[in-house]
Amino acid sequence: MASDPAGPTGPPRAAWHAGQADPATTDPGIVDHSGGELGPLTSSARTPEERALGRKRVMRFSATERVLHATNGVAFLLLLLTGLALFLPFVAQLFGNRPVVKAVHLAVAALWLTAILLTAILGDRRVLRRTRVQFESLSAEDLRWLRSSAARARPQGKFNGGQKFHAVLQGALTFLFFLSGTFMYLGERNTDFRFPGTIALHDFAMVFATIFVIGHIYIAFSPKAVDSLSGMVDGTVPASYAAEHHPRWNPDDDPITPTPKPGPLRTVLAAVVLVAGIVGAFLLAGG
Amino acid sequence: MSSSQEPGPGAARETPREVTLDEGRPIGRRVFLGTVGLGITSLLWGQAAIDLLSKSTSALPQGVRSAIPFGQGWRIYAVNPPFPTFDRASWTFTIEGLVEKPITYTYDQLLALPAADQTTDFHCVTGWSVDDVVWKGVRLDDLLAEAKPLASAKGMEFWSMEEEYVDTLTLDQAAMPDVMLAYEMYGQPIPREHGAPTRMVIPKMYGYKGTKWCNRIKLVDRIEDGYWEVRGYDRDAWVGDSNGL
Repeated sequence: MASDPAGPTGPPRAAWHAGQADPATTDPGIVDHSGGELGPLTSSARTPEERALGRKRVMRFSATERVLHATNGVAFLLLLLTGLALFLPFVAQLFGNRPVVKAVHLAVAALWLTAILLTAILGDRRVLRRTRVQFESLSAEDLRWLRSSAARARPQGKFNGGQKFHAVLQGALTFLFFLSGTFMYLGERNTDFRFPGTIALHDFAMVFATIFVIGHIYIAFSPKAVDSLSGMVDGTVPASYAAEHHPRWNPDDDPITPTPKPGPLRTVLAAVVLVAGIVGAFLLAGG
Repeated sequence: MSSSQEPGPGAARETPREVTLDEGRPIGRRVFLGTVGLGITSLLWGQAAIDLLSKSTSALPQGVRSAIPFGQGWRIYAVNPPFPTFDRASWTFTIEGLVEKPITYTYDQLLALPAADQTTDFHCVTGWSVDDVVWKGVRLDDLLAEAKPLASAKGMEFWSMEEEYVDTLTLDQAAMPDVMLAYEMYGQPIPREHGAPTRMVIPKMYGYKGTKWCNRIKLVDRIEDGYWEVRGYDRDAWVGDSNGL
């Protein structure tokens, strides 16, 4: 699942901000990190420098990160929908069959955990570690990004304050979802596992996660940020977008290299995790 | 891949340049662990916080409140808001169907029957529980003994003043000693949202079996699915052994 269909296979990039061409591409204005898959790009920029910057794309996210992002997004939405049906009586009445909804909820949770583990086993762990360190660099100044436009005007690195905070918070909430969900599962079998706040924790986590996901999606699709969307699709963003929104990020310091092929040990481990995850999902769903 | 691209053994642990450029101490880990820690402690105080939240919604109209599943340590569910109203003068409780002696009690007559107390845990199928709920009411066994089910009766339906809500028990299930028609909760008449004036209490089964605002028991020879059972829940709603287990 962590294969790299759209990922970079080309040589390392040239200095992106100087508008230099990658010798491997025919168009001198484009630094192609996609192995030639991007094709010609258009721009309304006027001067040759602007045009070069406008047409050039830089690699922002590796296939590993994109797969993890997509997995998290799909899993969250499925869990939210099925979870609301289990939790809110007036939503429950829209669905016919509680056991089916619950089975889907539990199976998706198991497969989500499996997907996270597989990403860690098969994906580019160097990239994942680097991204984690970037998230962990969240500072008090970054937190001000959330409430002050002056702080938002401050030049940002690869991730702005809001993105770092969102990632850290959603990571913590994901852990809490799994923890409280496990207690709920056990509490159905033995009511000794029903703590007074288990459901409250699951609910709080859902409310906060949903609010932040809505904010995340709203900002991502806002006109200002719409150029960034391709970062989560093919991994690239326009160099002009990176320069404007993330001026303190230098892609050359942050290269996306091809995902290393997993060795035999990791392949076997991944197969074991995959089988265990699918079996676990079936067992959870079936009872 | 050229060797210059290959990170050395220690390269992955190197701090990216961005971090050194950033002002301020990194607090990402602290925010992560703080959120996790706060979340774990909420296993203890989360329900109290929700209770507080529910009190703060008391100013909202009942219709809005009943759509929010929070309330007084409980989550109040209704299928057809607003909640039914109880008029002590005109309210009656009926036992009918396949019985030798159909009976109708007034509220005062019901209160005059031999009473029973119990303190039992209440478990909801959606995962929450309220421990040690103090109930007072009439044992179902006593009510049935008075009405005398016919030999053809296999079970009974518990009908609610809230239209269309019904649930059932078999005769065997109804004979469990802790099944009661309750009219007091925590020493007070049952509040409106909990089913005033009478509700069924069946501690060994999930809460949806315990019809609220219950005012009619009908003995039947064939058990049909109740309100939530039509919607996919188990008819035999044993706590810890039903609904997908």
